[in-house]
Amino acid sequence: MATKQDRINSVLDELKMATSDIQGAGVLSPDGMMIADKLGGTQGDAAAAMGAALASLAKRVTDTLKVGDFQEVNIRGSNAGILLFDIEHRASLIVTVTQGANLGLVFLEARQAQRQLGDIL
Amino acid sequence: MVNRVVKVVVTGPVNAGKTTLIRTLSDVPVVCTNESATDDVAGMKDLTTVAMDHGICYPSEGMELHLYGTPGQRRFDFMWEILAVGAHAILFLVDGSDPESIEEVSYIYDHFGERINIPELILVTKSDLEGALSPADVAARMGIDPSHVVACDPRSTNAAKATLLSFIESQKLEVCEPII
Ligand SMILES: Nc1nc2c(ncn2[C@@H]2O[C@H](COP(=O)(O)OP(=O)(O)O)[C@@H](O)[C@H]2O)c(=O)[nH]1
Ligand SMILES: [Mg+2]
Repeated sequence: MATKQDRINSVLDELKMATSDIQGAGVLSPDGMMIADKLGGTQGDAAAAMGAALASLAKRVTDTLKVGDFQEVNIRGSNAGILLFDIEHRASLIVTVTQGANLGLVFLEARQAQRQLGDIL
Repeated sequence: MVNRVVKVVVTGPVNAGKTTLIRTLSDVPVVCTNESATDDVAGMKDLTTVAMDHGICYPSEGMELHLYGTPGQRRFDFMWEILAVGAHAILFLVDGSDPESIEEVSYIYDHFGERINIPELILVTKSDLEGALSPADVAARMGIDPSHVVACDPRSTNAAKATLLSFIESQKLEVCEPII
């Protein structure tokens, strides 16, 4: 029986393999700790803290402006993009995508990972 | 008449009472980003601030105190920098009953000290708990002027308001008009 960590990692690996538009993925706790890091690079801890701050603020904004439950944050930089998905308010999934990524496909894959991670966590 | 707006940053180690203070002082519903603690903080409390707390206090006609509380953990130091932009004054909270808190507040104090130069006040919380250090002892540990260090229970509206107001009044802060 695979450990929780293994199962989370395999969801992330699968997500990264689904499309070359996805560069990296990670799961972070609501208080900004990396749970699983497949982002590549050395910015994992910073990404976890910043991702948690963003997710929490986004949650406050969606509540305050009454647009329903927080689902995702989409940040576009000139070189690449960052997506942040809520996982049942217990964690967040962070995904980095290439410039000009096919976001339709990315979202489809990410939502599937989001559901799977929700079951595991 | 346009209100004078004073931006006050509330910082300090985790569990010092920052969120409690802003909730006590604010006259409007507080924007909180409290999330479940999963690290060693979970041993102290369930929820921890991950982005900011924001509240507004209207102490007197024509004055608004905009309060911005930071997270306490170092991994959120990017929020310390974001929230310090344009601040007029800064409060450092420290749990006087916890040696680790006193150690950590020095780090945070230096971090801000290297970046901004604005009026500051250190509030020692939890003086009611056994073994808590006095403000003078905390000042000695931090190596700073004891006149900048006072005891305050952030759970008490009267104590918190009195402390903050006498600090603001004593500073004759250069305050600006609202930006938006
Ligand atoms: N006994 C006592 N408890 C306090 C005092 N100040 C704060 N607390 C408690 O300490 C905890 C501090 O939590 P919080 O405000 O979330 O701290 P933060 O991490 O600095 O935002 C809360 O449970 C407060 O009720 C104090 O002066 N005395
Ligand atoms: Mg807090």
